[in-house]
This record gives sequence, structure tokens and C-alpha cells, in this order.
Amino acid sequence: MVLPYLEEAIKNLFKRPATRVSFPKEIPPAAPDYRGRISYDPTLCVNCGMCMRVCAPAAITKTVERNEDGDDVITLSFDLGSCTYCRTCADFCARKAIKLTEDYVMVATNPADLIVSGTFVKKKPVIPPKPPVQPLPKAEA
Amino acid sequence: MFKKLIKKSAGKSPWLFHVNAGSCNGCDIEIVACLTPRYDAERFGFKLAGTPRHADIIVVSGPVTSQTKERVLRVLAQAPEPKVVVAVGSCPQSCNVFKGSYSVEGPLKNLTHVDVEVCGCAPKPEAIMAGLVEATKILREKRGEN
Ligand code: SF4
Ligand code: SF4
Ligand code: SF4
Repeated sequence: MVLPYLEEAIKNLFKRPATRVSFPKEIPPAAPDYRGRISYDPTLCVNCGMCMRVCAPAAITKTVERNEDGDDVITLSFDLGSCTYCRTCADFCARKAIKLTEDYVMVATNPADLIVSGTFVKKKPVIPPKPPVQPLPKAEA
Repeated sequence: MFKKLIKKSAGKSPWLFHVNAGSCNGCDIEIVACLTPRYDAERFGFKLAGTPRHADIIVVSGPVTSQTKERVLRVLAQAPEPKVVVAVGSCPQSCNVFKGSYSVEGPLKNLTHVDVEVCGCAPKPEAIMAGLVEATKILREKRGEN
């Protein structure tokens, strides 16, 4: 053939375009089990600190404040800009309080928008009143 | 009139310059994938520039290592104002798992202002594209258009 590429060129004219992603009109779903934006459920968390211990880039921080009732207000913050999306925290969380969702468009102009945090209150333990000390019976001689 | 036309058309076709600041190559591959026909970021007008002197948007990946710090600063200094700096991946934002390493001088915000942050390790090409679209909006604002 004189023009070896002619056949290919004509074929390409009738092929559908190679662009498969019509972003931003539709956001295609991520692959199954994709590790994306972290979701944290503070109602399940028991403050064991395992997630912070296993997180390699130290993306999880905890703050503890004492409110006026003497209860601890505990906040766990996950910095998405620091996370490497390994899911180790979710695997180690015994209460399944952490999940990595399939939402992957994490774009921000302000770093504060990239913090996922949750707060729960740890009640001050109620110490039962001590029973009055009984006087020992007198030892008989 | 002619200047106005140039200004208007330049806003529609921002040119990118990609700096690898010691990245693991994960983010770089996703940036390249973003420009290939499958994702085709060029339909938004983006074009990879060969030199920072032509660039409007500087895309940085990697945690800024000691070796690359000087180069990153030089590239940023060469890009004409107004420029938009996009941090792709967790590395330029916080150094990611390389935090505290003796050879890492990042994060990028110690060196310059970061306009858009795209999270992920590595982010999907769609997320990078969303970040670039956001960057064009900021570029327009910086130029004083709309
Ligand atoms: S591992 Fe789970 S339960 Fe423990 S502190 Fe972290 S989120 Fe809470
Ligand atoms: S996914 Fe990995 S890097 Fe991210 S917070 Fe959990 S343990 Fe840390
Ligand atoms: S963010 Fe993750 S994929 Fe991107 S350069 Fe850093 S380590 Fe590599």
C-alpha cells in the first residue's frame, strides 16, 4: 500500500473518542474498595488511641479539654492533607469508627477544609460513696 | 483592544509547569495520565509548558527534598506573576510519610503560598483536574477578571 497509515486514519475518523471521562459533568465512581476521604464516627469511638499509634504520617491528632462539669471533651482530627490513605487506622480500630469512603475529589483552597474531626464527651467517672467504716469489734481478752 | 484580546484568550488557556520536588513518581504519573487522551485535561485549555517562564500554573508534587529545594525556588521565581501554585498529593502539603526526614525540607508552604491543594496519595486524575479547574478560577481572580 502506498499510504500505510491511511487505513488507520480512516478508521480513527469513525471511532468513538478516546476520552472516557466527561468530568466535571459526571464524577465517575472510584474502583471498589477505593481508599478516599476519611469518615469518623465519634459516637463509636472509645478513645483507645490505636489509630494514632499506627498512623505512619501522624495525620491523626487528639485534643482533650475539660468542660465545666468535669467531663473530658475529646476531639480527634484527621488531616486529609497529611494522610497517605493506607487504611491502617480503620483496620486497627476495634470499634469500626473510622471508614475510608469512595469520595476522592478532595480539593481545597483552604487547608482547614481538609480536616475531618469529631468530638465526643467522656463523662467523669461516678465514684460510688464509700460505706462508712465500721468500728472493729473489740477484741476480747 | 489587542491587549484585551490577549488577556481574554490567556485566561482560557492556562499553561502548566510541573515541578517534581522529590516525589515518589506516583503523583507525576497521575498528572501525566490527566493530560493523556483518556482524561484529556487539554479540553479545559491546559497545556504543559516547557519552561516556567511561560507558565501560569505551577503544579508541585513531592515533599521538597534538600536536593530539590533550590530548584523549586528557582522555578517559582522564574514564573511570571500572577501565578497559581497547586500542590498535588499529600507530600507537598505536609511531607506525608517523609515527615521529619533528614533530607526533607518541606512542606511547600514553608517556601511559598499554596493556592490549591489536591489530596490523595496519589490523587486520581479526576481530582487533579478538579484542582486545576479551581486553579483557573483563582488565576482569573488574580488577573482581575470577572
Ligand atoms: S482506634 Fe477507633 S476507637 Fe480507638 S481512638 Fe481510634 S477511632 Fe477511637
Ligand atoms: S489512612 Fe493511614 S495515613 Fe491516613 S489517617 Fe489512617 S493510618 Fe493515618
Ligand atoms: S503524595 Fe503519595 S503518591 Fe504523591 S508523591 Fe507523595 S508519596 Fe508519592
